[in-house]
Amino acid sequence: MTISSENIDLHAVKSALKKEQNKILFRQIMTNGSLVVGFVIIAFLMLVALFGPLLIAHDPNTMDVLNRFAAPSADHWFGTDNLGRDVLVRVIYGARISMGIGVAVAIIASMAGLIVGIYSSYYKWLDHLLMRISDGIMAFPGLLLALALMAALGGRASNVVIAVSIVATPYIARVVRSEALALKEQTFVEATRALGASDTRIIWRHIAPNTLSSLIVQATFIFAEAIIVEAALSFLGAGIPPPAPSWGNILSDGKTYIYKAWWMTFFPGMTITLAIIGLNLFGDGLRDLLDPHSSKATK
Amino acid sequence: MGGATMDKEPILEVKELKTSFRTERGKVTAVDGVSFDVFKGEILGVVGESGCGKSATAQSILRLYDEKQAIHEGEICFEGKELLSLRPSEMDKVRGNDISMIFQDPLSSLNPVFTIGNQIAEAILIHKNVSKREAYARVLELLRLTGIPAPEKRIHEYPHELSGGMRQRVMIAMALACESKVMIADEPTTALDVTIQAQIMSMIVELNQKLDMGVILITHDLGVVAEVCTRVVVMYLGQIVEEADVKSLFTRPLHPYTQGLMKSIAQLDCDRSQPLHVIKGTVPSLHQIPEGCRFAPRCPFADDLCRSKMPPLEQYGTGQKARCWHAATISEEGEAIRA
Amino acid sequence: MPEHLNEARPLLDVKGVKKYFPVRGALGNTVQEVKAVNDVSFKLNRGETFGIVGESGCGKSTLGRTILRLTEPTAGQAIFEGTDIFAMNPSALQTLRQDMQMVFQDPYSSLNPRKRIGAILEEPLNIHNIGTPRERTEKVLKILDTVGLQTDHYYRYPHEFSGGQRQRIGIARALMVDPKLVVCDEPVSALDVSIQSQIMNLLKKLQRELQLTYLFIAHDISVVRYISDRVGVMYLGQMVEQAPTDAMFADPRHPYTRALLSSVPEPKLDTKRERIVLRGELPSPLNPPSGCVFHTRCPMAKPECKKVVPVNKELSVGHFVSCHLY
Repeated sequence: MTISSENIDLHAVKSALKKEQNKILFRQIMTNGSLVVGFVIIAFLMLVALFGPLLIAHDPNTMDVLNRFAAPSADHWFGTDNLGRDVLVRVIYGARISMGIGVAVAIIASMAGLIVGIYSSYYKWLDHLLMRISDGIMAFPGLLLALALMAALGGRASNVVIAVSIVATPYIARVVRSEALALKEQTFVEATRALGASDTRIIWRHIAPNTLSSLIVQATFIFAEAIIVEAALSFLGAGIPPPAPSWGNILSDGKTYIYKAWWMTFFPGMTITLAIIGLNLFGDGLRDLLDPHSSKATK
Repeated sequence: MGGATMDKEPILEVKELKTSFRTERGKVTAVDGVSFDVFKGEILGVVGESGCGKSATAQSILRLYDEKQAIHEGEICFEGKELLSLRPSEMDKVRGNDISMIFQDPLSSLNPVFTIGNQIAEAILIHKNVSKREAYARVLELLRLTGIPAPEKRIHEYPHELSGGMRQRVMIAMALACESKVMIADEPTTALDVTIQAQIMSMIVELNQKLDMGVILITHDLGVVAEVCTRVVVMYLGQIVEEADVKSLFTRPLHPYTQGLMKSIAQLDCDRSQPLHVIKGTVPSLHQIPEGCRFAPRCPFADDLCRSKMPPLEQYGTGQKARCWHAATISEEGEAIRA
Repeated sequence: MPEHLNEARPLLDVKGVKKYFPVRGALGNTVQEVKAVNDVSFKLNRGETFGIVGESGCGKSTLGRTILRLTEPTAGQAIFEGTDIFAMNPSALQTLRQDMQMVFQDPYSSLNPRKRIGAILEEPLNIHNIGTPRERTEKVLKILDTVGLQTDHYYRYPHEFSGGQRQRIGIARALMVDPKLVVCDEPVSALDVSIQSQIMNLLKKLQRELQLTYLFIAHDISVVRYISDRVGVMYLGQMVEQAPTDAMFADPRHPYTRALLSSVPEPKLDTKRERIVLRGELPSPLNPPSGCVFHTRCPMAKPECKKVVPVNKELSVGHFVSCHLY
């Protein structure tokens, strides 16, 4: 058997096997209610965030003073606010801001949390140092710490991302660290060391990939948290400066007029709630999906 | 050798027991039409490898499975009661009281936050209406019975303070607490060292003789079976493939699986220069049970009949049964049989 | 019998190895030590199998790991082909790892669940930069065949295999770097009996074909006897007896060895066998008994056994015992 015929054989085998594995995965995903529903909600909101503004071509800050406090109608599905701005348009543009911040925080906190968590699990001295810092951060109620950071950094979207990422990282780091600690004791890690692998190789090629399932699940919850914190910060006036239509700002505008124009708080509130529900369902479904897949014995 | 005088009447009768589970890959039948009797005072061995359904059978007898996931069919008769049709509250009265069970891993079978005295006493207080003082007196008695030294001291110790062998004795003490008629021992010594195993097994035999208690001993170790059991049932992939008294099983095993198992064990006097006998292939998954005789794909004697039709469990001589179309001819052709 | 016997130098010469695990107090100081391996010496010749048998807590697994320096030794030497493994610097050790490999006990946790078999098997070659990618794949396919697996298993994940098959993969992984010495740490304990014989035959076949030397660690005495040329019995961190297999089983000298051999349940109907029942419990390795570590349970203990540590004596060729009876 020549080398080339071996490789040809292998490719056919590979695609056949991948097809089979994908079929099983597909079935597992489709039967997972939370996952599907959560995904649909998130996907919908993401699409709105990405393409909504393009389709509407309407400036969210356009004021129509004659039409202030208009109740929801065919012209204005979500009504108008105190300056006559269409609430639906503002919520759609706000999706871009709020979801964008959520994604950014989830990604940054994940990367930072992964590095902190993995290295803490592997080197004891680093563990003491990093975990004490994390404990310090976690000792503050998240929102308060974010507020303090915003006061120090100044009100800008990028600063919101930084502040909330700092608050969120320790949670991911903790999850990753506890997974990594357990993995470190697994025989396959010792086996890889016996093969002569360096620490770095073991950390990044063996331990880190096995923490990803917990990491991703945690990240979806961080995404949800970030949306809430951003909304709270803006609501308190410490987030993204108005008139940017972040969901928190829209809520903030509406708080004075709750009795007069309930739609100014109701719709952004519902949208935030929808996003959180979607993310939580997705995270739960993901956790169920990924759990049986990982290192369980087939006995 | 174990076993006290045996009564003609069985105390436990398992009839065509079937236990299936709903899994994400379809329905899986772990126990498929298993029938056997347990007589008073005997030690019945249930032997098999992983996936054969021996533990599932034991758990089914005591209905330990969550019955939303597991479906039972068949009958289990004990003292005139049909266990599978009892209400949960009635079944609770049977567990630990009439039929008790000890498990493989004594560490995880004991609650780490309670003393062993407390746990054994609990076994008594659940079923018997006695005072705490009486219960603790019985606990001391049981600890002595199971050979635990200084029981007055041990009563206050926690599971992690005891060694593996000690913990298994505690488990046995708990199982004996209510003087059950039948004790199911699920791989009781697999997690223990060989020298401790010897102690525990001889204690089980002693208790069986003293208390005239029926024992169902589940194990994969044929050595333990030879030492301790009176009768044996061999399981493969959810079915019984052979049933015999110990002597017949080891002198004249009828089923090719039993024969193969015995030959593939490295014994202390085997010829080291010869390769070990191998049963080719592996146990199929319960999701892919072969057509016809389940052992056929791995059997050196299989023919087309074996591969198409499932053999029934047939009687061969007194008390020996085998599930094989060719059992009679195989034994006569005489593969090297252990004497 | 392998023809190495005229080779003067053993492949592995283990001298006085100790491995103590410190038990730390509240301030981080060492309060006590678990003497897992307490002065063990033996020689292993090229091409032979040295079996180490003993019960839990005897230190046999720790001994295997210490020799491979998967855990740092406390004292002693392990001389492999003339060089002391324990004295090597990290980079020399890294290269040496190609010569000594290990097969692990638990087939369920010894393979990375997220990697395909092909990747798992190619990794040793990647680590040591052996061959081109194509050559590595070739080698993996060849090894899969040698250990009795199929080509299409290359792309599967560990959870798709049975215990016995995973153990084959573990063995294949150890063989990827063409080692000279393979330490087998309870390689068949977690497997069904009918699979054990398959794996044992495989190990023997590989030893013949690839001229391997095995250090075979197990608690199952019959299995150890089957595969070993020489056997060592360990108790509480010490090697109480070592001898060529036939000599050991025909005439066990140490009381512990005798008790151990008599406890093994045999799958045959024997007439009453003289079973030596050890009294008492295994002492804690935190506080091993004085003198001979076995004296607290020994049916033949004399007053001397409590006070004086027995010397390791050679009773007949290659048969060593540490016991005051001799």
